[in-house]
Amino acid sequence: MEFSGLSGEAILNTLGLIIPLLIALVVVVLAFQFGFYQLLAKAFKTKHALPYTLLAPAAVALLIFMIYPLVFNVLLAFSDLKRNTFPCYSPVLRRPADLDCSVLYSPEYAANNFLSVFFRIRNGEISRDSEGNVQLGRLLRTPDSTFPVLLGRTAVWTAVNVIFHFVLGMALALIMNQKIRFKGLYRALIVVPWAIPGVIVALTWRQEFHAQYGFVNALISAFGGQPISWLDDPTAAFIAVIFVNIWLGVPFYMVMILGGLQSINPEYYEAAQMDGASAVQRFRGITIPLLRPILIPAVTLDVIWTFNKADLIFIMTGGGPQESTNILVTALYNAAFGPAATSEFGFAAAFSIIIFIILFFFAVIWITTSGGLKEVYDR
Amino acid sequence: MKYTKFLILVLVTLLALGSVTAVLAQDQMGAVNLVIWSQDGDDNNVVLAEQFQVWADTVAPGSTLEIVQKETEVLRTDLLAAGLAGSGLPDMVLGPNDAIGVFVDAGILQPLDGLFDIAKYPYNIGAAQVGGETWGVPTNAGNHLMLMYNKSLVETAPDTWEDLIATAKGITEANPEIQGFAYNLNEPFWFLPFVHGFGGSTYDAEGNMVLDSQSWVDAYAFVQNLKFTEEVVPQECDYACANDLFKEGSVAMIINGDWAIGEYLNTEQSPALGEENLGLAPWPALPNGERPMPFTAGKFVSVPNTVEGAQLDGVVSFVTWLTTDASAVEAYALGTSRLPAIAEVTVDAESNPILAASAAALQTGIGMPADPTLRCMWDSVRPNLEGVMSNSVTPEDAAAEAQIAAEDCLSAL
Repeated sequence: MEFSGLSGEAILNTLGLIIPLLIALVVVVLAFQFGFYQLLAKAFKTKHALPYTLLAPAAVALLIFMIYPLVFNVLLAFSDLKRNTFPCYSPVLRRPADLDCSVLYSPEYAANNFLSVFFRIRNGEISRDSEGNVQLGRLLRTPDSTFPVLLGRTAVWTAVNVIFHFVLGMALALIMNQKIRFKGLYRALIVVPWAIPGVIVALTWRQEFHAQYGFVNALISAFGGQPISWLDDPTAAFIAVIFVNIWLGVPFYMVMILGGLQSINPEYYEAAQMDGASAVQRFRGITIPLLRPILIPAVTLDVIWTFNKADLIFIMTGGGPQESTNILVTALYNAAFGPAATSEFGFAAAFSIIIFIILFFFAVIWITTSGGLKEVYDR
Repeated sequence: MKYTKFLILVLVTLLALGSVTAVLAQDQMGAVNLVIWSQDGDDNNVVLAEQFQVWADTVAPGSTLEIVQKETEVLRTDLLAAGLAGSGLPDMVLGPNDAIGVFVDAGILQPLDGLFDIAKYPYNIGAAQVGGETWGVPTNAGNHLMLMYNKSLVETAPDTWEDLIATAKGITEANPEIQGFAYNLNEPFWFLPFVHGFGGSTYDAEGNMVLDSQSWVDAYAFVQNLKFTEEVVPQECDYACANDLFKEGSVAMIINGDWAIGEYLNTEQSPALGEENLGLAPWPALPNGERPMPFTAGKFVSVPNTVEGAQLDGVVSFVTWLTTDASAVEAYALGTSRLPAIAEVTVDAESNPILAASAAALQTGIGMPADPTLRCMWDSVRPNLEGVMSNSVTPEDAAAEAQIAAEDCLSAL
């Protein structure tokens, strides 16, 4: 009998499968590169045969792992793929006689999917209330789960997290950049949250925020405060998940900024000090400008990561209570894989494209206006 | 003449040998390698593996069974994904009935009416029937919630909620370290029995989902009262909270399902319980005199649509044996502290009082349908129950909102 599980035998079995696969992959890639080089150099007589050959595996991987999923996602947005239409899209599934599978992809399905993100759609039409007003669609089950509400909550979640990550990370990096005793120990301790797996962090904090048995309320009570129902109260739960994500994200900034600070030539500060510049002036005039090439990509990445951070929320609150800690991506996950098991993949694909567009425009505008990649382009 | 007698003897011997071989061949089949996705816990899967070996040794020597353990929701999403991909589906799926409707809707399962003798499962086969067809055969009956209590803290099980509240308060007053009563407060599966007890149901006579009736309002009000007026439950409590506190003796009474009995009987896993201290009872009666009625079903084996030929023969032979052979049912159902799903195997109250008490609690339940729309009910009730249990939503508003949410969910199907 075999059991799936992390036994020594299971690990060996898995390695036995993976290692030959990896060797085969390396052989195939080398053969492909050799053939590709021969083609470019001999048949097409290209001057840049070697660089093209070296770039080719990365380009193929990009095509397979990035471009294909994107194209497939767009295709899904044009489908009516949901649980009870699965048999239309899979040849092995049992197809009921009354299931119409004549059209698999169509612009009408796409329109329905995209409009459903924003509006309540009934029988292909935008639904209106008794006064003729357009009804917004619910992305979850509660009335507050409309797109504008979830977008607003996602914006608050992202902004608060990124601001605190930045401010606390910067403060800690500046402190760690000073000549203080036991600096290495402090640095190691601060990086600990980053080193612990996110699932463990979320589960641990979930227990610590327990109203009756958690450390947080024990601390509040010790100082004479009233215990708070952290995971039962919508506002308190949202604060709790934000707090944990701030705790998780600060080390990333600290490490990045500290690296940047250590690369700044101390002579700049000495010269400024001799010219009578205050600490604030030195910070604004030297530190910030010289850290810019690190800070702009760090903030960009942090915004995208935080905007898309679903795992922490799922484990700590499951999006509750009353769906109050859900953000756009958790609502998206719910549409595709949520407990109602509606498996609305067509709708979820359209929803994900809208989230992608929001983040794409944010990244373009932010990077362009902040000049974060100026040095890269100037080279 | 001498040779003729000898020839007849040889022929008779050969015929006899041939008959024996034919009989053996009829009972035995070729080896099969089967894969089962099991939602059951590891301990129960060990028993399943042992039973498979018994079957294999007798019927199909050399057969193997790969058991892949998957948590409830993971099993659902993985099976849907494998079905859509058209590959990687197992030969059998073992789990509770509530996902069967979903899998039927998605076209993943095959009907079992022609493959198994459905009449052999009189108690709960209805929990695996959708659209007049059968999509799973039960390995046990149950999956029901009941009152569980620690006999070292509670002498006799309370028969009414009034008794339970008084008992729970008395225990906490005597020892503030011990919580009198706890349960999974915000989980609709624990809430539905109250709705049933107040005379409500999920569907009306026409099959429409009705979550906004007076019974639902009464049930919301009752659980809200338990928390905020009587204060007999913890401020926050999910499954892990109630389960862990009960096992370590920090809670005197909880509501939990039959799946936990095995764990509670094991004193290594549950130091405060064991056979000596674990008590089981039906739900206490509500003020209207009715008992809350938990949903009942059991665990079922379903077979994906892709299984055919020798694999299907192997599955049918093994599952038929596992679920109808008295010795197998005793080993697998009773051996995992579950109730049998066939009439031929009964629970002896004297030798097995715990399971007998579980059987008595089972009698108070109502069958859980495998209807795929049921998930819309769970999903719609959950946020509103959370609102009620945080005192931010009134029972009336919760019922009304759950109805709207359910209709929204149903429209997406």
